[in-house]
Amino acid sequence: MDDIEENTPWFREYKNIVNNVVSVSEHESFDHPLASFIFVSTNNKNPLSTFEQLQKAIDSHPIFKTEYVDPNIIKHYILIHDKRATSDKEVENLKSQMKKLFGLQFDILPFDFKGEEENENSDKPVEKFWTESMVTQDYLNILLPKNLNNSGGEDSPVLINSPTNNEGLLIFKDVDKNSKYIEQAELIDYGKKISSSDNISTKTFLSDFVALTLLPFMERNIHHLNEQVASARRGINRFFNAGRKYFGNSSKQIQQRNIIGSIDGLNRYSYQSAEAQMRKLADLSFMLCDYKFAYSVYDNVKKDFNSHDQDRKYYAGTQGMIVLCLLMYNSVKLNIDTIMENSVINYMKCKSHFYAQKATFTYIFLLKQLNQYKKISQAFLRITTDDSNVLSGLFLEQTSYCYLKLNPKMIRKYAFHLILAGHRYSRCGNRNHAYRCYFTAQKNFKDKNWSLIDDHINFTLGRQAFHLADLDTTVEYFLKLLYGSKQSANQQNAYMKEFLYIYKQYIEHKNPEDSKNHKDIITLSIPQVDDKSIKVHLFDVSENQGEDHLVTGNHQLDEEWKALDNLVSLENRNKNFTSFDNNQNTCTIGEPIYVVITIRNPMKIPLELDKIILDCELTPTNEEAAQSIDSSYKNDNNYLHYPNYSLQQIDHLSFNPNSEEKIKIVVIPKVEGILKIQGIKYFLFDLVKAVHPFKRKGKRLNDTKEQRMNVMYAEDKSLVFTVTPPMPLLDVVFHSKPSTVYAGETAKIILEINNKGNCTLKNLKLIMNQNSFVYVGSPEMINNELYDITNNDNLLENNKINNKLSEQNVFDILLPSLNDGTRGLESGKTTLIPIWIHFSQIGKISQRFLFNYYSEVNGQSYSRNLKYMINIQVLPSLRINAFTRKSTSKLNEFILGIEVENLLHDTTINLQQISINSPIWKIKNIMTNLSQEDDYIIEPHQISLVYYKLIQLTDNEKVESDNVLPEFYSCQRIENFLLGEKNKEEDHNIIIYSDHVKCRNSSLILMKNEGLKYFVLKSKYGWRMEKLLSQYPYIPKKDLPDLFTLYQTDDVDLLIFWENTNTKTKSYQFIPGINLGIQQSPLQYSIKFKDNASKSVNMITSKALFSQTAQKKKELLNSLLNNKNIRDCSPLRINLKSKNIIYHDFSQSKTCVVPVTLCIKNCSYNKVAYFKINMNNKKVQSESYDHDNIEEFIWIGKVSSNGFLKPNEEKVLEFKAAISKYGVYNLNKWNIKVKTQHYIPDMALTTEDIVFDESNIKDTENLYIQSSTNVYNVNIINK
Amino acid sequence: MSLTAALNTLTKISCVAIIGKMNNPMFIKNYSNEVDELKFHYLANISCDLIEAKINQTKYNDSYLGLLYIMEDLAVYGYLTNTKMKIIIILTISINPVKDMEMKQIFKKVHGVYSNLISNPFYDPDSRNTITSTSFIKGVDKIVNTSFQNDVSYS
Repeated sequence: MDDIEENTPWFREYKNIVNNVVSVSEHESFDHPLASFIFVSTNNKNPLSTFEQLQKAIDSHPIFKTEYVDPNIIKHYILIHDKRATSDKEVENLKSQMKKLFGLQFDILPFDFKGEEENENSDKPVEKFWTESMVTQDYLNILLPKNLNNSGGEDSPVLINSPTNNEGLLIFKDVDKNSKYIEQAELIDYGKKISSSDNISTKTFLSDFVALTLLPFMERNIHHLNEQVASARRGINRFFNAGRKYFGNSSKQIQQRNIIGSIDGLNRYSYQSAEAQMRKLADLSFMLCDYKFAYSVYDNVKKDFNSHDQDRKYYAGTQGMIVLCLLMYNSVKLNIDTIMENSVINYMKCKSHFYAQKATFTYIFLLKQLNQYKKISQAFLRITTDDSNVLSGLFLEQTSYCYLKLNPKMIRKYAFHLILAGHRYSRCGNRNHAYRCYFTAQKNFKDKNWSLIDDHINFTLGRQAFHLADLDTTVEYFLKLLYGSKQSANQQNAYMKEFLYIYKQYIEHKNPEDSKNHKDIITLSIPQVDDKSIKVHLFDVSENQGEDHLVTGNHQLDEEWKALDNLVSLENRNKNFTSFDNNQNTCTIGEPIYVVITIRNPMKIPLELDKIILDCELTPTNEEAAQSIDSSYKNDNNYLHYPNYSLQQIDHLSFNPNSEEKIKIVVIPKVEGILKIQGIKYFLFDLVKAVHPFKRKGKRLNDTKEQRMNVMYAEDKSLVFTVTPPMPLLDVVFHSKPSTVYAGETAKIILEINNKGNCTLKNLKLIMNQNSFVYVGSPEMINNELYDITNNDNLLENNKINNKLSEQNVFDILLPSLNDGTRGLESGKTTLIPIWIHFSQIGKISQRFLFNYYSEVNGQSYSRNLKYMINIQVLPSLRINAFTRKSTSKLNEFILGIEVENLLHDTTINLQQISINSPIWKIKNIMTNLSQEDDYIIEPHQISLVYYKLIQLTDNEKVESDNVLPEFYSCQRIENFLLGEKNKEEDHNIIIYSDHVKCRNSSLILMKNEGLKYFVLKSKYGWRMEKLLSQYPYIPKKDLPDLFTLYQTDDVDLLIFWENTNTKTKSYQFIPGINLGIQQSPLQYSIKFKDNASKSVNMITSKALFSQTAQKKKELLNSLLNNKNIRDCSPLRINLKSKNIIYHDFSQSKTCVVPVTLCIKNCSYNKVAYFKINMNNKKVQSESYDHDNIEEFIWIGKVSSNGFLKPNEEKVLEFKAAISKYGVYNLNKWNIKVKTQHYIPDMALTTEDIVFDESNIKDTENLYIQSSTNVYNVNIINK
Repeated sequence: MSLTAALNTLTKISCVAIIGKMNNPMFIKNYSNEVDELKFHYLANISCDLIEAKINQTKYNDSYLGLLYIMEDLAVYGYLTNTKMKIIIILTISINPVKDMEMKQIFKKVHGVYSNLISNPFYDPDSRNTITSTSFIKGVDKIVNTSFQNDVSYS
């Protein structure tokens, strides 16, 4: 935009009019007449007398009666020679007569009036310059009706000040009137007879006149005025000033003489007065471009007008001219703006706004050349007054454009002034302009958080649009006002009222077609709907115990649920459900879908919603299969029935200011297909038809680079449902669900299963996460307890269990038997299923249940899920610390110590029973005379310590079985695994013996209960997996169950049962992980690998194609063979025995010989052990004790022994120690070298094999060195 | 002169505004009973232009930008923090001239209160939300109420 007026032609037009208006004013001599033309045509019968008459008319023109217009003007007489009618001769005659009468002041204009013929002959378009000027003239006539007719009495054009004329500016109003005039002007084809030669002659005449007559006349005037008045006045002026000072009264008289009148408190000087003449002089010189001189004169005369308020207009005029002079001769005076301001202010004071504007426009024109836009903006602001809204609007608009021309641009000021302009326009009813201004300004405020300003603009725009009858736009703007704004409640209320009023108008004027096409539904931002929190339930939540526990189908799924979902699909895939699509939400014909929507009123005023319904779309899959489903909702008046679905309608809902409400609304699909829940529809204040579309995003996509670079979301499918044929619908209720329990307790929960669907429910499965301790019973077990109790005394149970390391996560829920022999739940029936949950971990437990069931309809399988979660707080109850120690007196016996601390604050705990589960071990009380009764009652915060012994089962006690040892089993499988061969699916069972020790006289809890057994095995599984994972990080987790077994031969698991004396609830704690066997690597028994370890590595690696894989295999093998976590140790257990106290009379015999027996047992069940035992005679430094009284003793006789032991074989060796002094001796001093070999029952064993050459150990052999560790003291007492 | 008339002619703070980096309003509070709040919003908005012009034109080496402009009886003063936050104070002016030093002190205090606000680790200074911290609002209220107290004492 080069010019600030470019976009505002109306302003340019106004400016042109102001500049074009001929207005005679007393304070300046511009627009005063200088010359007059008197035209007479030759067609006139008596031209000369007509000339005279016309001359008289000019002389008596009212303008000269004002006395401030100089009547001394040029009178130029022009005879128009119509060549068509008058001959040249007659003209010559007239010419001579005129010469006599008027001297040189006459001209003859010959016109041939051949314009019409000319136009006909030429192709050139007719120049319409006449039309234009005539239009302007007409236009001005309309604008200035009084002024031209009655200019005598007026000092300036009336129109600008009078309010009626303000509104009357044609550009802004009365468009019809304006166009009428233009048409009229165009109809009359002015000057069409004037030919081009006539034009040329007229032009020549005019330029001749200006050059030869007018300019000399002006120059003469200047000269005259300068000589006569100005120079003299300079002197007089000084005198006057002095006179004024000293003779106030007299000067006033002199002053009075020049003043011809006073109008509105303003002086008016006669044209003869010095002041007026000075002004005229200046004006004339300005017109003739002598700006410097003009300036000096203006400056001079300014001083005269300066002092009196009555001279204000004169003063203002001179000031304005001074500025123009300065600008014209490029004298850069900094204060031109101040002078200009002065001028304008003075004009304003005497209400001469017109001249103020005129002066300002000229000033602005000059400033534009200098690019002084800041000054221009100020100048425009200066002439903006309260008097005229239109003009203020115009000027403010111009001001705003100035800010865009500044460097840097001030867009905010621009916008602000546009708004001010719009405000003024709207005040005077120029709504289009007001709308335009606000609209343009709004763009600068958009999205910048200036909410109050936005509201103001939107409101104004809405109102303007309303007045412009653009109701669509009005509604659009008012909608923007309806939100949780910062406006006060009153303001919001006002907005709302106005909106409702406008909306009423809007729908009344609406095309009925639109409402048919639902085009009249608008999207409102109030009330707010939280799209993220929309929940969809497939059954009524209020019937359930609280929706916190229920996880709805479209709930944002977390990882754990996803894992469960995977389990479901895995399970279903196993059953060949190819058509099963897990990603799709399903719903069923005739079943209501409950949509819970949170609606918020963010405004400070109450809102009312009516007739709320869901906006749904159901695309039927096959048209003809529209079954009608009888539903209980059919006759409900709250429902609207459509062919494909029924919708619930909520009649009325009112919202308090700033409140939130949850509504539950129902849709019932009626045909198969795809149901989309798109949004809600409602009436606001029972009037505004509105819709809120639900917009939900799926999860953020992160697969491709493009998706990572941009924020992209998957499509949300949670509100899209596949409508399936009638299906069973499961609802579960959890009865007697505890909220807090103590660790170790088991809760029995009754599961109420309801089938709310229209089909029989079958194949119900329950899926749970991995670490949950939930046992699902069958309906028949409803009255059972977890603990089976017998009154028998100590009992050794044996249970055959599957020793595979596997876990069950999917449970089939056994439903009641139906008539046809299958199990299922008929439509509308309810059944009860007991489940037990054991709580062993402390903390907040979220137990997730995923119920899955499917039905087959028309050959297609549909699967349905129900998710449920219960949260339970588990409090600590007992702290149990169990440990085992080798028995010092017996080989292969262990002491089991259990330390129990009661962590409860106020409840005593009774220990009920200690049980162990093991393939080969059993538990025994330690024989003691002390009563243990007290140890079993643990008061709050007390610790009790109880001891038992663990001994191996004898063969008599064992049950015959042909089960493979678990170690062999897993060894074999690992071998296959390493060699890349696939393991066969085979059963591996083991018999677990459960031995119990009753505490006090309570009854006995048996292990045979399925629930308890399940829990125990589950705990064992968890522990075993964890252990294996840490031991063999190189074996993938999924392979572990294939390779290892649940129980190992020497495993002992401890179960502690107790009773809470307060609640009488029985609890138990399972402590796995006691292994009393000899720790060995799992590949011990592998002959293949043990034979040649290096070869075996090669054997494996040769099969690997890549070195990386080979490296991994190597590591794997290493971890299996030499695992650091498993300490490989000798299978021999050695026990030394002798008398503890020996009385010996040292006076009789100097040495006391103590017989010592050494029991050696090979505790391995699969290895033969060669040993070489040495009794230590050397006093080793490290073994020396600080106490001096421990004297040396010497092993005498046989001090070493060789031999071998078959598995479980025991040998007793006799040794003798010689002691020379009484005291306490530690006799436990020996060391032993052991070599083990795999035991094959028929192998020949000879003592010759005992070669302990460490450098020559075969791969099948292991060498161990053991030495005595603990102290075995013998007290020798002198008799 | 009656007391109320005297009070009306006193210089007082009519509005305190904090404008964010992106020229977004963070806080605008009207302390005047006579003027519509909307006006202050507009004034604060155009102050952004003036502040920008001021920084561009002159080398400014002080946060205090001085008097930005006067509209009717309202004088707009500006202050720019190092983090390009704009603090704008609009005064209803009286005959008594306002000293720059005095204004500077007031701005410093407001800046201090703002610094306290952003020291809160939970406050996100880049959020485009308006400031709702009660301690901040209280702090500004206190500054407004204690400023130009000298005028009252001698009138």
